[in-house]
Amino acid sequence: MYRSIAASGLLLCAMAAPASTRPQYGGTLHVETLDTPDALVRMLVFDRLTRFDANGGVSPALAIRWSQDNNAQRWQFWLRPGVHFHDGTEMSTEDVVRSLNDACASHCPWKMVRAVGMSVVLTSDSPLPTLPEELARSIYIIAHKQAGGELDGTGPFKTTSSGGNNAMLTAVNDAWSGRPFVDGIEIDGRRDMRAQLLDLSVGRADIVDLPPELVRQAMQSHVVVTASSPVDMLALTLQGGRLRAPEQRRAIAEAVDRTALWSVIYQKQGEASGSLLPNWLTGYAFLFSPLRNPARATELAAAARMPLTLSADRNDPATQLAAERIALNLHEAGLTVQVRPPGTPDVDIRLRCIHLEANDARAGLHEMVRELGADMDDGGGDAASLYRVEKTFLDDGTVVPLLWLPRDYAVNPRVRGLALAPDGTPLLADVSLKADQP
Amino acid sequence: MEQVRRYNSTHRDMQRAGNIVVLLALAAMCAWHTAAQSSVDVSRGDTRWEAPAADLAKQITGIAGPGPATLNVQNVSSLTPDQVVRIRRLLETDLRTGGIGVRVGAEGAAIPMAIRITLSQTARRGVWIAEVQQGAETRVAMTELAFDVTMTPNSAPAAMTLRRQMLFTSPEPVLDAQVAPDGTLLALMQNRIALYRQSSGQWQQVQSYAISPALAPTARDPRGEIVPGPDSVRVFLPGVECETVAEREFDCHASDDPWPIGTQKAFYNASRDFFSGVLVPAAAATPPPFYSAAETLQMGGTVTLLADLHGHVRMVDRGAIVEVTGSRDWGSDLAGLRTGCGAGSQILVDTAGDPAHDSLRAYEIRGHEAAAVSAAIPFDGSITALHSTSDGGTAMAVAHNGNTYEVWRVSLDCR
Amino acid sequence: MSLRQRLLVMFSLTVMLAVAAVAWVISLRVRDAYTTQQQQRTAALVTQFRREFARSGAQIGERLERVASSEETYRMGFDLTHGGDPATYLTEAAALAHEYGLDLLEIVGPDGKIVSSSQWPARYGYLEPAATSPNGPAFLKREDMPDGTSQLALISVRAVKESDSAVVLVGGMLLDRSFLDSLAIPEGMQIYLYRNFGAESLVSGGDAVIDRHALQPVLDQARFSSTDARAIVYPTSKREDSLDVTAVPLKDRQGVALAVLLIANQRRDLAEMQQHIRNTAYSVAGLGVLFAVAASLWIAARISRPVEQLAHAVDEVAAGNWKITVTVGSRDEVGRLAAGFNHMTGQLSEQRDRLVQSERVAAWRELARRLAHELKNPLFPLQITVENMVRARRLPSKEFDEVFEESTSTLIAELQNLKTIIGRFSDFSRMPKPQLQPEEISKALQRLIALYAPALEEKKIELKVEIENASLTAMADSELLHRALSNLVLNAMDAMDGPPEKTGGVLTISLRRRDGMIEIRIADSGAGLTPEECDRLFTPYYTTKQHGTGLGLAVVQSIIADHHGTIAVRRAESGGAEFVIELPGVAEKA
Repeated sequence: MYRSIAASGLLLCAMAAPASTRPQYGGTLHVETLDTPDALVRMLVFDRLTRFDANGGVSPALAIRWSQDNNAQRWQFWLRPGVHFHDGTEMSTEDVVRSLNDACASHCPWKMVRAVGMSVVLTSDSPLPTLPEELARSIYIIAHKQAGGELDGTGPFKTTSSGGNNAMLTAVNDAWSGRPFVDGIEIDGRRDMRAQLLDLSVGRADIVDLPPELVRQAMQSHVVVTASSPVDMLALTLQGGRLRAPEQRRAIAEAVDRTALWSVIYQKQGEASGSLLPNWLTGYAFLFSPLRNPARATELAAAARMPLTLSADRNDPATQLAAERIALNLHEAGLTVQVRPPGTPDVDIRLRCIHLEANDARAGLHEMVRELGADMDDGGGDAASLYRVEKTFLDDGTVVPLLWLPRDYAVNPRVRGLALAPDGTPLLADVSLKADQP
Repeated sequence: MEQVRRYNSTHRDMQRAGNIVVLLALAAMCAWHTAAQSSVDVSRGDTRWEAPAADLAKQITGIAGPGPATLNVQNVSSLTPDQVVRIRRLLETDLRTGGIGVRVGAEGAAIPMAIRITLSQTARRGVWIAEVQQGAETRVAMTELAFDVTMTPNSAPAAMTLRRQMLFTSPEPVLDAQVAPDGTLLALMQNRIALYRQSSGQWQQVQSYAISPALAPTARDPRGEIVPGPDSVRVFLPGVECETVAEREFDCHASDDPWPIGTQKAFYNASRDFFSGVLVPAAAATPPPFYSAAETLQMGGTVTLLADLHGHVRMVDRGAIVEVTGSRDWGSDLAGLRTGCGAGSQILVDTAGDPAHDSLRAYEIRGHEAAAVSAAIPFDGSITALHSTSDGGTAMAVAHNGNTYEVWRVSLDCR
Repeated sequence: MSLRQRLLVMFSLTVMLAVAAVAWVISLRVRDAYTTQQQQRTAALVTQFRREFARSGAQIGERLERVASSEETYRMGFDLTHGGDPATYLTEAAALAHEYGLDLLEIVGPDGKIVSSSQWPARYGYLEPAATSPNGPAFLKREDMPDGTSQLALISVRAVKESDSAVVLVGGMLLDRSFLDSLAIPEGMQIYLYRNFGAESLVSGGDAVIDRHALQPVLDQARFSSTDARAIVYPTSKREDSLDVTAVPLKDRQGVALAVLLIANQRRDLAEMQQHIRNTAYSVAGLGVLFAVAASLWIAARISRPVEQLAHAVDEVAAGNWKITVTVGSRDEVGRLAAGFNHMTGQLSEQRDRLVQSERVAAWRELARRLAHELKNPLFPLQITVENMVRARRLPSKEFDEVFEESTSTLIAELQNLKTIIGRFSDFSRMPKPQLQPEEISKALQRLIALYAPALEEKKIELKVEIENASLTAMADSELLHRALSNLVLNAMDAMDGPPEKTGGVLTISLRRRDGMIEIRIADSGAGLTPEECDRLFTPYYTTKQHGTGLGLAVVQSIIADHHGTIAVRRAESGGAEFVIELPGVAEKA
């Protein structure tokens, strides 16, 4: 793998060419991903009512403004007029109401959504202080169901063809957010990492996924790397009936050597953290010490020694290696842990990778807690309150945060203006390609 | 030949003296301007930090109650060391008002309450966090600041100007010079440590501590470093380390311990006059041997720049070693500056070119690219030593001009 | 057992023992030769294993040398020795192991901690105790694997060739099935490797399969004593599946037996050879037995047949055929025995005829005595009466008439008595043949009880009836049986008849099934019988009563005999007499 990276770097250096100063329109962007193209397509084809901006707030998207009253239990979002779906249908409040209801079905944070003129009103029995941030998340896309049952969006790209692991997107000329620089994007999903790097090196790919553990090697090989802030939390969730004893949960939390995971497996990318949120979001993540205490872990584990099972949600080599390393750490503390194949249900310990979309501490904490199947009252949303809420949540010991990892991409030098959304998603609509050299 | 040399020398001195007069006048004006600006900035900063400092002190008092405590202030934000010092003073004052007396040094050894304040920040705002430890219990208080209160790096580089001030000259090579906390200027020569005090606007040597010839280095390109600390001063020479054992008394001994380079240390190859490339703590990848190193802030983290033996400048970024583009004309001496100007952190670099007419220039590192943020400031002769001062706000440069070694303090003006 | 049979057995045993002895000696010799051959084959395979073991160790050492001398390893060693970041080399061991054909490879840093592990990448940062004494010979090591199992590995340690580098390579190969498969295993031999740690397991070379428990004793002997052990193992109950197993302990650097090499020689050939010998022996023994039969028949014809004839004649005599004689065919002891037998039977027959004749005379005498006695009793009153009537002729008419009247009455009574006596004798001689049919005996008893209950009550005799509550049926003539039982009841009543102060008693009638027979008991509480009386009671004309004819119980016995039953008398528990009748019962229908 490292040799592939080195080869990529050498070839990319050879391909480097003088840059022009202004972005140019045209060209097809070739993107390759380790995962399916669905998430990327979703971000490019559909819009949401709001979107996370680079300054840690939310900006208008399909909603141009919003207001709240009744202690944030009633929110009203005014829709952007003149927005059309790709099939030409004008976006209506009914589309928005239906989309929002479809997005979360019976698990919506609000109680009711209804259309009021050119606005939608969301009401709830409890305060929803971070609703604009919540609606900026990728699940709350606004879509229009076509006659064939397919969903149509309002994003800067529309799907030309899609099947299995490939998708072809075409720029929408009259997109409300402006026409993208490139004419189209070809996304090749579920592509092997080695193949991605090879494609990047020979110019067949412009942007490829780069797992955190390969970033260092890639940079040393002069591959252009774009990295996000840490947005993916690697955490253990302890859920088995055999982990009912709090001592055992605490033993696990004390036993795991986060620093070794961070420095070796993930090659010092991101941060080792015992916090539910990354430090760039809260500033206080260091209060949740990432350091292990093997002696304390052994002492706690002695109270309950039952064989446990562990399984990672993801199937990539680094996560598997991390799962094995964690099992070793726990074994050191006197706990017997058997690593099961990825995705095995009903295990005692799950190694999960939870993606954070929010760019604000308050919304982020709501998002993470909800993602972990709980609910919370943030007590005002100031840093001290959030810290207390997070501490109370983590003191229960059913979630053990380990690392916060960035999302990284290796980029062909012909790609210009690649920026990442706060959650690490590449903003491909803003990307332009250098013109071919004469 | 001797006369010619003297004539020439005199002429050059006269010329240089004229230049110096002009430059000193300019420097004095700029210094006044800078000082005035600085005082405005400081007073404005202090005002803005008063409320959060008071809020945090109040919370601490509420948690801990009155009594003596030790205070440790740690900065993990983009605040400069000066600003941290000022914030600490504010906190001490506010804590004292609340009944908590801050003890330092040996005084604090037996104090049961320890307050650790971390000046942190998020992408949007500053967060000051206090951890109050009383016995086995640690309680937390925190306060938030609007982001513009802290020294937010500006994405658009402001025009900056390098200023210099000559401190003294020496006929023998000066390897480094630093001002100690008590206001004494320490100058490191090849075989002695000289102490200077200001008298009538001039630095006068008041004492000299000789380093044993058995220990003194015999390198062709002698290098050394003075590291002033709050309680003592450490001096590094090739194969030698000295430390103050009493006021103005040094204890020197043979040592191959690594030398400090910013927050890290590096092993020095005493027989070849360069750093071996082995860093402490070890970097993810071992860099090549280098002449000098400097640290700068980038994207909230610290990166280390290294000037290697072949004229390349490399950067240790998140464990990877990458070449810094735009550094083709850099010399071998680098020093980091934490000024609050521009991105908040700059690199001071000498220029590779004519050794008789060296210059210094400030750069900022954006990604892996160096961007000049100031015009070059010329020196007669070549720069033989360049070191950041202990607060990181300025740098000390030694220019070898003829038979004289000139010791300059170099600062960066935001305007 | 007859003489002929004994002769047959004796001859057969002699032949079989002789054949078995020969077969056993041959089998023993064959087994010894076979065992010697197997030991030689085992020793050859052990030598081959050790040679292959040493060769593999040398090969591992040579490969590790190449790894340690390579440019990339040199650079890595330099870097790690000079404070380089070990994390950079996390996957290096896997790549090097793949490139140099090693199953296992660990790069151990100057601090003794694993920098990279091909077999367990997650173990980075952990201490590797094996990374000592580099450049020594290969050794056995237990290698823990990520899946929780432990493998046996042949390991070598080499220092990286970089000045005074403290970076060490620990690499090797797994001693697993493929290693065993690389050995040339002769036909009829199996090889196994037993791992003496973790979840103890047995690895077999080729397709050999065996139950580990069968090998446990020899395994235990080898691993606990740390010396070679040998045993015959029976994996199945079949003898031909048995194995001659040699266990060789394999030790690690500390001398601990980490594994046991098991070499098993199939004993099928030996078993088949021994089976062949046995089969031959069986055939020879079979022929011998046939010979023994023929010989015994011939000898029997000469010796045992006259003896058998004599025995048969004795049986005939015992059965009552006293006329039997045997042929005297020889002049030897058997011939003399036959002549003596013939003489003896002739004597016995003559004595029996004389005895029958004398018994018949005695019977006639007894009959005449009884008849005279019976007739004499009524004749004496007749004589007195007639004499009284003669004397009364002299009396006045009125008195004579009275005497005459009285005398004629007496005469008539006595004549009637005579008639009765004669009738009884007539009845005894004319006993009818019983008409047998299924008869519920309990009903017959009920009828009997109903008939005699008033009389018993009158005589103050208590009647106890114990009839089993079941259907007890016998083939019987109801009238004859009733007559017999009545006779017994009357006898009992007579036995309990006495002076008024002694009148009364207990009559017990019981009925039950016993061993397929129906048992009727009639017991009284009278004076009882002496043993002599019991013996003679059923003899005709024998009576203990003053006026009895002695024919009643004889008739009863006759009737019971005609019913294929038996009757017996004994002293009852109550002191009186008890008659026990047993009749064949009719099987109950389901």
